[in-house]
Amino acid sequence: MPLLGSVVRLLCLLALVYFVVRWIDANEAEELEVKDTPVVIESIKPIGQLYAYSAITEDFAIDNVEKVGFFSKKYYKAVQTLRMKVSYVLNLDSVEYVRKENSDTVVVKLPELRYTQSSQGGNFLCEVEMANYDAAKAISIVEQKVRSKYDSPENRKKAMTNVRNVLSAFVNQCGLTPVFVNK
Amino acid sequence: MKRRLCNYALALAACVVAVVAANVLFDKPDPAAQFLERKSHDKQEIIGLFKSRAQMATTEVKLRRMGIYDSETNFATINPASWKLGRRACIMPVDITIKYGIDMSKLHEGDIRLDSSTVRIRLPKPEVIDYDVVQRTDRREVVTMSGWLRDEVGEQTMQAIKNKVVAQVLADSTLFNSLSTEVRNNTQSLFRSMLLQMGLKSVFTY
Repeated sequence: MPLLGSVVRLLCLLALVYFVVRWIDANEAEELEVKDTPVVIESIKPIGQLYAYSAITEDFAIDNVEKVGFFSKKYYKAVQTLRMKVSYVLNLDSVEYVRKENSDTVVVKLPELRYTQSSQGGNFLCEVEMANYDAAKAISIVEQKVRSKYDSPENRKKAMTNVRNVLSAFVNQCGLTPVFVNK
Repeated sequence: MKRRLCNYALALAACVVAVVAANVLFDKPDPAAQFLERKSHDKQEIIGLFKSRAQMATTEVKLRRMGIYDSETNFATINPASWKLGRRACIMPVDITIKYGIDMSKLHEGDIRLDSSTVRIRLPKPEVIDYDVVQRTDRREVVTMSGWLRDEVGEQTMQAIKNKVVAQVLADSTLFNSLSTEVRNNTQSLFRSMLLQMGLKSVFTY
């Protein structure tokens, strides 16, 4: 009988410890703070790019990830989200301006617009932390999804119209008349 | 004897209740499920809408900043959220490419004036036009550590660290001020080269 009493007391203690540990562990309100560290500038270079048509978008990919526990494997659903800026960009270094002699007309030769997308942040969401999971594949899926959604001939056409409007306004303000041709 | 057995039975029942209650009460929410649930209802934010822009990027800066997270530094006796059993830390580099330039839509009427063959341009203040964060993590460059009963440091924490670092870099006015002269010079050079091809000279003010 004293043995039974000891076992019960031990079980009570373990249950209490388990309760406290779960409570502490559940307090995930812990704010993730990042220390202030210096910025290292690796390169600075001059560029000439006109962002003519842009959108901020967010997309996600779902993956099933496997976590091996003490006794079994468990599968979790994970979501990789990405916030991206998608844009059509004109490389201004490739634009040629040819002014006709004794005239206020400038022939502006425009190259093809370039579609770009830049990642402005993301979140990996899963019930458990996955130390060995590499999100590179999920990130690629999201990037591909965004590209296929936004890089379309219609958008490219609208972007080119805006490029012409912007450059036209600028050239006009300089007292000249632009004539656009494709390069 | 009977009473003692009854007490033990009650104590065991209390144990079971405590364990079950701990599992139910402190069950961690599944952020992936929450996100998907929210995604199906949340229509508040309008994103993905293309807008016509006139942003001219003239300077590209590649930079790196170390993201250092150490849970131990957060311990506060009055905050139960920081009462963690053990330490959790991560050191990782965050690579960002920032493009600075000007927004040409901020060039108002009167900001560009033509005096015979010289164009006088009053340029708007430089600003961040675009930035790109390297989202994939090269694990060879990451150092992680997690102590007793703490979650491991994984992709979730690493991406959260990245987001924090990016926000800090973008809000860093010292960095921005140190680059603004370079950005202005590059913007002037770009306009100068455009106008030269049109047979015009240029003068800039701010």
